[in-house]
Amino acid sequence: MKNNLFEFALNSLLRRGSKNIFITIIFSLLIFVLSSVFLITNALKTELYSTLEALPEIIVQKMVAGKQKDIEIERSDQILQISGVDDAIARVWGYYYFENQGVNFSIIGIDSYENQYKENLAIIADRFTDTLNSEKPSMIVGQAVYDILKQNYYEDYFYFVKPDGDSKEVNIGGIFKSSTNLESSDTIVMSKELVREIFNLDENYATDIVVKVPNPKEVSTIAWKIKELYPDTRVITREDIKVSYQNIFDYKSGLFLAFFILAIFTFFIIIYDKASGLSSEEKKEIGILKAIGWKIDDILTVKLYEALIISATSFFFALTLSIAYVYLLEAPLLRDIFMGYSILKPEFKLPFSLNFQVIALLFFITIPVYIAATIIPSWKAATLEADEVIR
Amino acid sequence: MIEVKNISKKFNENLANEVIALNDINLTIEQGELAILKGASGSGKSTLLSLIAALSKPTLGEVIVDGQRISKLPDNFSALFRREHIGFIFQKFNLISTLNVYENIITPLLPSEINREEIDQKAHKVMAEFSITHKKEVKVANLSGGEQQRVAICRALINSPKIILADEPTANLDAFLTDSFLDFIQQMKEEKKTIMIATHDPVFFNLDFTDREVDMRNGQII
Amino acid sequence: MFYKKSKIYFLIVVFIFFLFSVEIIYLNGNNTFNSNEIQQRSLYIQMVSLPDLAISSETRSIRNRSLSDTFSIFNEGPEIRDFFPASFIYSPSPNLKLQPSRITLEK
Repeated sequence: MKNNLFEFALNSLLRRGSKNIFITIIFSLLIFVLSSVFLITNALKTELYSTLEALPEIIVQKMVAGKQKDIEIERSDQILQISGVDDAIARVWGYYYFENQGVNFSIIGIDSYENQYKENLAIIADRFTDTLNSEKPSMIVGQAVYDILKQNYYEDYFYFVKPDGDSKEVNIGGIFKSSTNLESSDTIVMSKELVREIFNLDENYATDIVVKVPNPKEVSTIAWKIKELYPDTRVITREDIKVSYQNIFDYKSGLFLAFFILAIFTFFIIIYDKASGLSSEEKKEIGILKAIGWKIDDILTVKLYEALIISATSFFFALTLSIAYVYLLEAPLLRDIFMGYSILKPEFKLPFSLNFQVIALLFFITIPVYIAATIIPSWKAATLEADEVIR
Repeated sequence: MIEVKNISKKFNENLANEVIALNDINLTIEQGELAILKGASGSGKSTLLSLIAALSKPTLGEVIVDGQRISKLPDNFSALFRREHIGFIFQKFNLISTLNVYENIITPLLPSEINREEIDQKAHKVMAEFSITHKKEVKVANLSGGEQQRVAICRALINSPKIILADEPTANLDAFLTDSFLDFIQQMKEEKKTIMIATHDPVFFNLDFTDREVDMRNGQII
Repeated sequence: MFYKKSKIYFLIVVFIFFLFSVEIIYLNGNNTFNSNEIQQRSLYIQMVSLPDLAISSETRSIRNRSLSDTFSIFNEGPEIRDFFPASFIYSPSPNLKLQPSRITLEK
């Protein structure tokens, strides 16, 4: 690297100090916001994919007039008959509207007599005592649920209001650990019987049926068979959920579109200002440099250094800041966009995964463009005859 | 040695406002000579200097300096030629106004990979010679005409050129400073540098240390 | 004197890279992707068997996005799509097939 020319480039930038500081700030801000958004969306996707394998292979829902309706439990027996199906479990879950705060809790029923569940709950819940099986009905709640209930003075138990108007007291038997926050924050887990009671669900019906298929190659065949067997159902495979995860953010519409348009617009204003040519003072300077023996290469080297100094420094500075913003500060302001109105907000502790593709993408759509916009007008001025420019 | 062979320079060629600045000029300047190009404004003397410094290309003819054909040199080579052989003092000095004295003086040396100690040494030597060291941190825009000229001279000399070209060097100077400049020219002559000065200032005419005077009018040598 | 500014600039660059490295090392260490935590999350999902994160629970169509039905998108009626701000960020699940599939159109 040519040290002398580098120092000259630095000096040149400092000479037009306020303009260059302004460009640096705008550039950094742009990269900061863009990379923060990409970091967040990427982290959310990573989180989703990390637990994909734990989901059931097939979920069967009954659809009536485009609406999901409760499914007959006996269908799970029929499904179990299909070869390749390991298990078909009728699942009971729903939303409970907590009027005081205007929030919906997701309530999921599990079979409380299975040993496996006891062991598992001990791992994933705090303060958990084996209360699911005790005489007093109990539930395990997510962190946000616990906080909301506590705010409303329910610390050890809660009164659910049944559809017939009666209330049902349920103990809070445990809180899901914070490591499961992103998934469990707004959920309540209790025994199936309890869920049926609270929602007044028919014993012969379930919300949906989950099907376990050990051989992944058979999943689509079995899904098709289930659909043949019960044409009024919608069959969702784990693959479908994976596709759903991939498309979770529609970058081409909504907030993202408005947002990216603004970003591109700002960026092109900067580029336009640069590319629309040099001021006569800058042109004269280039002419003088040529006249005293600078080659075009030398002049362009200085311009390249100038562009690199501003763009590369802004880029890495902004990237460093945005990593801290997203992962250390939990992205205040931006996280409210992703979490919306919901009052039941989990901690925004996202898994750290640096997607180098996205960083590279950001790098290559900004820095080379900026460098080109700086060098091209300088090149045009530098190829004029020195004599023309300095007279 | 500088050889100018059949040089013609036209501006806006084939257009309605075509100007013939030089018309079939032939000239030879030997090494170590001091040549004065005399003539009124528009006689083409500045254009001739530009061509000799490879700042522009002739329409016809060629310029040969020390055996090297410089008029057809590609841009990068002509710049290198200027850097290594020519010290040009421009009429309006053409200093970079946002730089200070020191920075202006060292600018010709920056692209070559000379280390900074050497650059510093050369700069201080030449600044001392022209008594401008005390102003080295001052922006050139804040200097007087005479001081600017000294800076221009320092810049022209920093790479120890063999050829010095000056275009109307005394146009913005008073009598005292003009005398100083004449002393400088004499000193350069003693150092056996080849010097060409384009001027219409009579103070340069009939000097005893001038080797030749070339009269120019309307782009031709009379 | 001459290279002072270059030195300062490089110090700044080194400092930024230093911060960047420190961040990466720290975050990698404190990552929520250590095996313990992944196991806990997997166990939870196994038990509950519901997809999607508890990030935004404004409306069913966002909260259990992969399983939602058409009704949850057109909450107020077939004329109006869900108007919560979150529906501008999260797109409806392809499982709903709200957009006509190119394959069926071609057929």
